[in-house]
Amino acid sequence: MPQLFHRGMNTLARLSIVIGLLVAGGGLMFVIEFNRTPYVTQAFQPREQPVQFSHKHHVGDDGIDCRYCHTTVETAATAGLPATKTCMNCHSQLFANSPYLEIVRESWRTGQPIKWTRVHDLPDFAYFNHSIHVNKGVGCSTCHGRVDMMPLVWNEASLHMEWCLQCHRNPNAVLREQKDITNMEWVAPKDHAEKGGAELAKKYNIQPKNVLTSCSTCHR
Amino acid sequence: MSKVEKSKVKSKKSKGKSMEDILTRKGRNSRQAFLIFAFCLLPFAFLSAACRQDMHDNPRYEANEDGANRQLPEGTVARGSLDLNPSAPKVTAQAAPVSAATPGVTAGATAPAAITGEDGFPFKVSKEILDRGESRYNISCLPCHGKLGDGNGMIVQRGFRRPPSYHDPRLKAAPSSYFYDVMTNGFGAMSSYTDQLTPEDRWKVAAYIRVLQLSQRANVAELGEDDKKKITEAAAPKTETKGGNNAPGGH
Repeated sequence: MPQLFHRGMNTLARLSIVIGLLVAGGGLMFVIEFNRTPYVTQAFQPREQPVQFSHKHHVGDDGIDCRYCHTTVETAATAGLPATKTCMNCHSQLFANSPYLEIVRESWRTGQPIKWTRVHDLPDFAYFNHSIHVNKGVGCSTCHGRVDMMPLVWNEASLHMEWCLQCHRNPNAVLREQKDITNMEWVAPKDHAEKGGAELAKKYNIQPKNVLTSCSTCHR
Repeated sequence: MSKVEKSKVKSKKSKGKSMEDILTRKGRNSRQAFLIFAFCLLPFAFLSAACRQDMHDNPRYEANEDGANRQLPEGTVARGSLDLNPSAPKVTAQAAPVSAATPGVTAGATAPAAITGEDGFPFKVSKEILDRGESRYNISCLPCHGKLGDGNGMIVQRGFRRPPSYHDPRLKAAPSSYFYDVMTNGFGAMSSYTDQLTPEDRWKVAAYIRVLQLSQRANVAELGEDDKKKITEAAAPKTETKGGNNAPGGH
């Protein structure tokens, strides 16, 4: 019986398998990496807010502590969005006639809270609690970045699970003293994970890695 | 070999096999083809996984989902917001109600009389309490009252009405419960800080205000050896950085 295909077709057939695998694998890689890009995670994208509130001005220029407004960050799961009264503590006198603050004054008159746009939105199946992080030495800027340099706030992190695990696998590298918790300029000193961080982990009684990375720590 | 011959060979061959054979082989081929096809589709499955799914947004009500924190409805008392020491002696100088007071009228002018009363601390003041008071002061009070309590904070420099300095003789003589009272009810341009400070923290801040007052009129001879040493060591650069101490938001 004569050959249907030329002998060279064998190579081509084998090659097509390899190329097919490469294309499929490359496609997979592309999708995975694509999901990590800010295009998907929306990291570094400033969100429009109903009021042109600038963290850069209030934190960076005025030096107001994060906890002046986010009062519950040390005691509750959420850091808390300040009630309009907190704005009016100062803005009853400062920029009291500014049209930019009309939404704040309207909220003050009517008692309806301002509807801010959420920037950091974790999926609901991930349990997160601000207070445990803040009380155990994870500072604001570790996750939120230099908020004192953000006119409109964006998220610095992908909020992907791999991002959470970075720290949960090696918490020592980011731990700081309580006095530095809201310090925006804090950076870990050299060899922090081995020296100062390790000491702080002991002081804060940080759980071992297998507990920190256990599924039910975050998915409960 | 011509095309016609080819097809003839093929048909001859197929005739030699049973129908079942053909079907199974065909079936195997198509199954393989399907598997490969499915494998190629895998990336797209991951693509669709990138979208937000139902599990990301559970049908539940979350904190701040409808916007910022709400004001306390009238006539309600938040948990933990009750006065720690309701029997604390009330200060005699009545705090002015929070209103759009006429500008230029300072607190000293509205309450010129000496403020009398007892300190009324609900707990014994310790180092831990003062530390907590310091941290709360630096969060909630420092923007206006300044790091030294002289009433020259950053917000004042931005145009807010200047509060009286804690180092005024009138406020030095005032009982600690007066400061608690002002934090609770507000005074002049300052609004109530019950939202930001729990009753316990308000007392602790009051204790820290006492520290600030002492810090500006402390007698060196009464200090401990350690502090004396620190002062002599810092004496030379201190004169240079004194202006820096007053600097806004210095932390």
